[in-house]
Amino acid sequence: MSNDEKNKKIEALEKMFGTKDELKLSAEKNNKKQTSSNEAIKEEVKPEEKETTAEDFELKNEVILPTPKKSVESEIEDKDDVQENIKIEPSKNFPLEKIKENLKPEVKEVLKKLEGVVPKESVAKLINVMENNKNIIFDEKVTNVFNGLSSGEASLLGKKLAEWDVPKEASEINASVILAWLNKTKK
Amino acid sequence: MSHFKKTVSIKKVLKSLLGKTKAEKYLKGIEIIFSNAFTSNAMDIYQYALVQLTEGDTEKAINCIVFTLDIDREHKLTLHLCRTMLYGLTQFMSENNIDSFKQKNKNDIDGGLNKLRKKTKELKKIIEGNEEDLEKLEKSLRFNKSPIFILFKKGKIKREIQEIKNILSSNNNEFEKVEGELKLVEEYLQKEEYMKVLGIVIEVCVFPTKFDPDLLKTNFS
Repeated sequence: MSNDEKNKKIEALEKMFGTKDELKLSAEKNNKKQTSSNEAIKEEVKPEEKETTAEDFELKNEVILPTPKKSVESEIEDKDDVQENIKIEPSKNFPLEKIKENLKPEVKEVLKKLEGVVPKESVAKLINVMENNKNIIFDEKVTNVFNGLSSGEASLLGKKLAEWDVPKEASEINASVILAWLNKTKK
Repeated sequence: MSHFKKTVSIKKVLKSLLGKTKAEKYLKGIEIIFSNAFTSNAMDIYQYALVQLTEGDTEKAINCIVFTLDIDREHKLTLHLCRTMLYGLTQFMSENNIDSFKQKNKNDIDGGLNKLRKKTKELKKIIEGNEEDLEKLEKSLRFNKSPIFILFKKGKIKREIQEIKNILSSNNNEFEKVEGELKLVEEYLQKEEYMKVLGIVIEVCVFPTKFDPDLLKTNFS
């Protein structure tokens, strides 16, 4: 990438997120707020729980950059401007449409075995339920998982779940694995 | 508007809603595997979750989902996996007609389960008794060769043996039926727990401010 292109990209980023100084100030502001609320929180930790936990990898201040711009995050040259203790590795940037190609070999092997075990019709059926019978998860006769939600909340939840769509290949992978899992856990 | 988006820890919410003991089985282990090599990323953990699911290790898979989403709240593959898991479970519930069992037991699943467990124990005891009686009669038939026995008692004993065999067969069928229902209900309860956990994960992702009202102020300050 040429210097001109780089500078243009940085300009675009600064327009979206603000300049480095603005980011720093905003982060410090959030830090102060979080520190005062954190002091009020006391967590009991047993001696045997002093192993590394997910919390060691969470942001101390539970603040993250907006992830749609993750590829942009790597463009920020000066890592000191990023919040302390951010230990997110940007997800590998490959298109989800080509997920199968980018899986680990051992995972590819497992999925290949599933092809002979999980019928394609069952996979299609489950995917169809998610697309065309979305509200089954709100049906009280079937499950009471979301019983506590108001109708507005249920509607919003349904919309959000629909946003979690992935390309067909990835969808089929997840559906096959879930069906294999359901079979495995049958008593 | 803040450039930073604060998130609520799914792990903390699960601990608070399920209780520490119940939540622990879904929250421990994965961080140890991925902690030393944090060149791992959400994609690695997602793939690990897939493998755990194919091996039937649900708790580890949910652990992966929670861990990944606490790192990267917008990891599409993990969100989709979580959603697919919930729909898969819902489909299972629907196809196995759990609702009829609930209605039969007036929505008291635990009570219904205890009744089934009691019935299987009772049937097992009855079947053992039947088998003992059958053995005694068959022994007496085999070893008693006296003419008087053969003349006056053999026929009666043979009829008794047949009767007991019929009763035993009927009790065995009943036992299989009840045991099958018991296994299904136990499976249902286990899967219901998984659904509850996944439901909480999804709610935290969709309604974070519900679990931390301060979030609203922070994200829009």
